[in-house]
Amino acid sequence: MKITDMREGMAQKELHIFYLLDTSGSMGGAPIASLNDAMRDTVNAMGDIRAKADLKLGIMTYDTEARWVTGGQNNLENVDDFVWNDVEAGGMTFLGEALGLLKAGLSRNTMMASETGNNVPIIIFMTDGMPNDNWEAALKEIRENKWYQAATKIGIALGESADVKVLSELVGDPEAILRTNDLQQFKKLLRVVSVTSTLVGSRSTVTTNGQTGADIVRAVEEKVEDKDFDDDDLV
Amino acid sequence: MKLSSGTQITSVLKCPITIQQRLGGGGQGVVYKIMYNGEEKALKVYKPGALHDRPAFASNLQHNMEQGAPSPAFVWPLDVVDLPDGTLGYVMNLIPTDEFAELSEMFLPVSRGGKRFSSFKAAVDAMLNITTAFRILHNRGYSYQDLNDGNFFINPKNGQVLICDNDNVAPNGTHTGIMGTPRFMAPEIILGRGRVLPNTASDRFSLSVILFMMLTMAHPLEGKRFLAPLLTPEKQEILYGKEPIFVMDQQDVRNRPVPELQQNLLMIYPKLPGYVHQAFERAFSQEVLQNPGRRVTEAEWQELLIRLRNEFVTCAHCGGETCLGDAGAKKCEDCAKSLPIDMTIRASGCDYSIPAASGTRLFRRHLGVCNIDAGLDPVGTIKRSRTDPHRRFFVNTSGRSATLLNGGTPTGTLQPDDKAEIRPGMEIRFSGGQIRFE
Repeated sequence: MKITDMREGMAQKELHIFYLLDTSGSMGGAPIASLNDAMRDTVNAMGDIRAKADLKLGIMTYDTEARWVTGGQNNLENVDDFVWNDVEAGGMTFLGEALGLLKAGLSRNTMMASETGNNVPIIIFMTDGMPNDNWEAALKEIRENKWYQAATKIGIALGESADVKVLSELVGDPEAILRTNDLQQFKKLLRVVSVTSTLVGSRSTVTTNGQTGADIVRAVEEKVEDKDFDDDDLV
Repeated sequence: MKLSSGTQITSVLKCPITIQQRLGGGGQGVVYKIMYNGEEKALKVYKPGALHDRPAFASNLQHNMEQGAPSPAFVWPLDVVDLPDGTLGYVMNLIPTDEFAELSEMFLPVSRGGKRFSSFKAAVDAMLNITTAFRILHNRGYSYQDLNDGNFFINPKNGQVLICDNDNVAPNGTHTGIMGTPRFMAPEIILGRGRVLPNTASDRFSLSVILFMMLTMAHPLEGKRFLAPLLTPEKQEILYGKEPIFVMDQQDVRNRPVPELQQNLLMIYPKLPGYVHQAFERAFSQEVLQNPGRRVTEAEWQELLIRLRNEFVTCAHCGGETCLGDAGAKKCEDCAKSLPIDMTIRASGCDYSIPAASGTRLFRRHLGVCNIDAGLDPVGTIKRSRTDPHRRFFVNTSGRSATLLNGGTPTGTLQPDDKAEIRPGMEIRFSGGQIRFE
């Protein structure tokens, strides 16, 4: 036998990181440009980290309708294969649509299909406003979903009009929300929260239990406020 | 203090340091490339607020520096920076990343940039180097507290090892704030929820996990049960804490490897000798998992690995490696040509015979009991002739002259680095013991 014939790696869990990004009309102009920049930076940064899981992206934008921007099998793409193409802003904020589409994906028959199984998925919600549809009914339904219940959920509220109450309902904890009115800060937050939540399961830890969305938000806030923190520092 | 390129500071040992380049940042701090006393070194500087007890941390760091590295494998604090403005950090050697890879890279699929050892022998050499380093560290009364596959840099060609992240190394029993890394934490640490602190025994659990992974490319507790559709924190606690089950457990088959996903483990494990199976079965038995005091020690792993490395014999024809195993294979398992193992070595310090094949190495430990630090000191190597693979030589790598004997009668002297063609009946006497070819 030859050790070099061992081409397969160690069995790894898949780690899915979902984004639900608000691209309604209020995001027009500078905010949507920042979101495009932020997502491009985030995808690059995620490609550089050595996550000890098989990392897959599921990115959705929603306005008057919701759609996955990640293609591939089941609308999931490997970080290394995915290229962010700029999206445009326009339309209403139909959060209920987005939750319905996410719920359809959170199933072993669809996006959560995996030979090795999954680590707890991460869901990042980003919005700058408030929903215009019957999102409560959709939230009630998705809360029944086991994957949603287990997921590490984090909200990002951009600007003063972002409805933090709605985000709290989505993520289930008011402390699992990052807020900013500054577009530069927003770009940094999106990147740092993505990388930090991805690495949580494979880094040295001071606790013996898992980390919640609120734990991750606290860690991200500390990093971003740290003056010695350079843009190159991802973790 | 903002440490930009060109900034000059002075170390605790009064050496001038010039910051050259920022190499990267982590959760706790930033690492720079520096000029230190005219040499390129690395400097890790902690972020203010990253240390929960700065005075204790600084004094531990200073103490470790003064004690010196337990062995050259540790990338150890060589000097400390402790400035009046609160900047704290330490100087260490740079890691030659062109030759060394992070251990975790060895576990990735080759298609995603995964690296592989050059041979199983090199993998066992790396396991031996890690085990020996921790034997020395523990013997000095330290515990490492956070062994995981991100701490080690490995040279895949020869199994050389560099151990990083030594800032949490502290006398056994000290609380540094770190509990460990998921998948490498001992059951008692997970279940203790902060009340049980990492120590030498939990280090030994993590070491057993790492050794198993290096040899089989699989985690010892990650079988069928690991492949659950959703691995929640509650399930992880069962898998690694409450009810860990070894994937190769003889009695309990609930966590067996899954053939489609764990081919490497299923290929290599059955070929390993019985004494290796027994050691892993013991290391991950319920008795040892639940009783930290009964963990397999570094000394036991060292004995086993010294024996195992010489049982991987490389075929002179096809380059494949065959593990001789319990059956004592005589032919290459890849091309079925005979292996050059017609002779064995009996050494005064061990109760088994060692194949006298090209690549076999004898260490000081083979000759008899010795100091912990000296166990891996080289004694000799078997090399084959380039022109005739059937002719093999013993090269004296002990650094001292040895006596050649036949039937107990001295026949000559073997100077350091000199070689002698091996033949049955030949004996060589060293200062610590002797070997005989049979």
